[in-house]
Amino acid sequence: MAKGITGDSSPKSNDLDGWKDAVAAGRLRSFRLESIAAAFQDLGNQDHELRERLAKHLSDSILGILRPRVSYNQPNEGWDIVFRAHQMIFEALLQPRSADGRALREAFVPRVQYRLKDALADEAKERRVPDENASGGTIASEFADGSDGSDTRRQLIFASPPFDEIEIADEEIDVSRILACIPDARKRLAFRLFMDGVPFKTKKNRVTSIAAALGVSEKTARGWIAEVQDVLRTDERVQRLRKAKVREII
Amino acid sequence: MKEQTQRENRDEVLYAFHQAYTRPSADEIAAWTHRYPEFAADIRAHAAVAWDWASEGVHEAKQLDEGMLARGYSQALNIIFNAEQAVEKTRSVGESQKTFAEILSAAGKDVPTLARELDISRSVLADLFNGWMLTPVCGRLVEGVIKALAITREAFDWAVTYALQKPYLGHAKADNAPVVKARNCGEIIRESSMPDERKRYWLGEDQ
Repeated sequence: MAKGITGDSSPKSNDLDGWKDAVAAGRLRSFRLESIAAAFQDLGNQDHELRERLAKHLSDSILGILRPRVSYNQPNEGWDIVFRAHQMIFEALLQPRSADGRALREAFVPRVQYRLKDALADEAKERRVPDENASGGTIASEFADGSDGSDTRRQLIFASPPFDEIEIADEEIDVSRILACIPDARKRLAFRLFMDGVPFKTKKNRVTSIAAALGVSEKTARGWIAEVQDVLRTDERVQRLRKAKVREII
Repeated sequence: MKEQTQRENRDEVLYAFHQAYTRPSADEIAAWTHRYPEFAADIRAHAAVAWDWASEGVHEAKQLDEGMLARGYSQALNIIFNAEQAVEKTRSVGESQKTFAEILSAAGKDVPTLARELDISRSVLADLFNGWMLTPVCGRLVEGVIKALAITREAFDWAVTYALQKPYLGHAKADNAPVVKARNCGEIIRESSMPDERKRYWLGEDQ
């Protein structure tokens, strides 16, 4: 390996001439984003044009990582969250001693995804409507406890129109995508665990319930699931489904 | 500072959770919230997003067009500009916001004097003060300079950051603009003219 070249054949992070040559030759795409982030930080403002070229490449790459992971169901099609995360990541790039600034040199994509996940989690918290007092009692009768203290989705009874009579437009529609229209992330998570067969409550020592995982009462967990089921029952896309699994979960 | 530490601890825990699971199970969520009760709400919120991603897959980036890329680049340039302005503004007052030149002057010292005092190569100090030394600076060099110049670690860090942002460029040659080749602290010490014993000392390799 030639002197001044790193593992991915990019110049060392402080090799000004090496990076100028690489940019001029259009080789940035062949380098790891960690190497480019390190060069952006270490070269600072030694060469204004080079800094802007590196910034452009990093900016495009960050958007390319962020956009596919933000649902278009979010307000403003998710662009507000995308650019908020983009801003946080770029500010971190300019603070090499910060935790994010250091991490971007070590694992660029995982750190960008983490920062986006944090932004999405924050957004979900801000949009959440307080409902801790919401009653789940009205539907409690639907969920009879099993003899071992557990109950699962398989014990649900659904009295909506028979699926056999429903015109099926697209059997491949995924309920998971439809769940994106549920704004409260905790309810979505509760429902996904429910779909995964996790019981509402359990007396078995080594089995975790939805209530325990979500840190809420069993009554609240049941209320959330019922609420999501109500939404799904009225969703036209779900109505067209005839998958057995869908019948089980709603 | 306490708030910042708490923020860093939170990030450390949540990032580890993020790295560990793409679709955390109920058992895993319960275990992590039990282990880190102070971050339980955040862990659950992250778990929810992880499940969304795992279940929905990635969305087609149909609108990632040139306009949005240009908006992102514009935002990036604004952030860079604001960061540069912030460095300029914050250096106006305060004990912890003086350049190395100002600190040396206040201490009544210059590079040769300080180099003799610390028994270190002048070139190493010059690289540090001129903004040609990348961070992190070797521990013993930080301690030595802080002690000799009677400054705080905060003041040292600020001066290093400023020096890196505004490196001394030297004189332009007839055929090209002045350039700076910042190097790592270890590299600078190893390539200095000091005896090996002193290099090992400053690198902390004598222990």
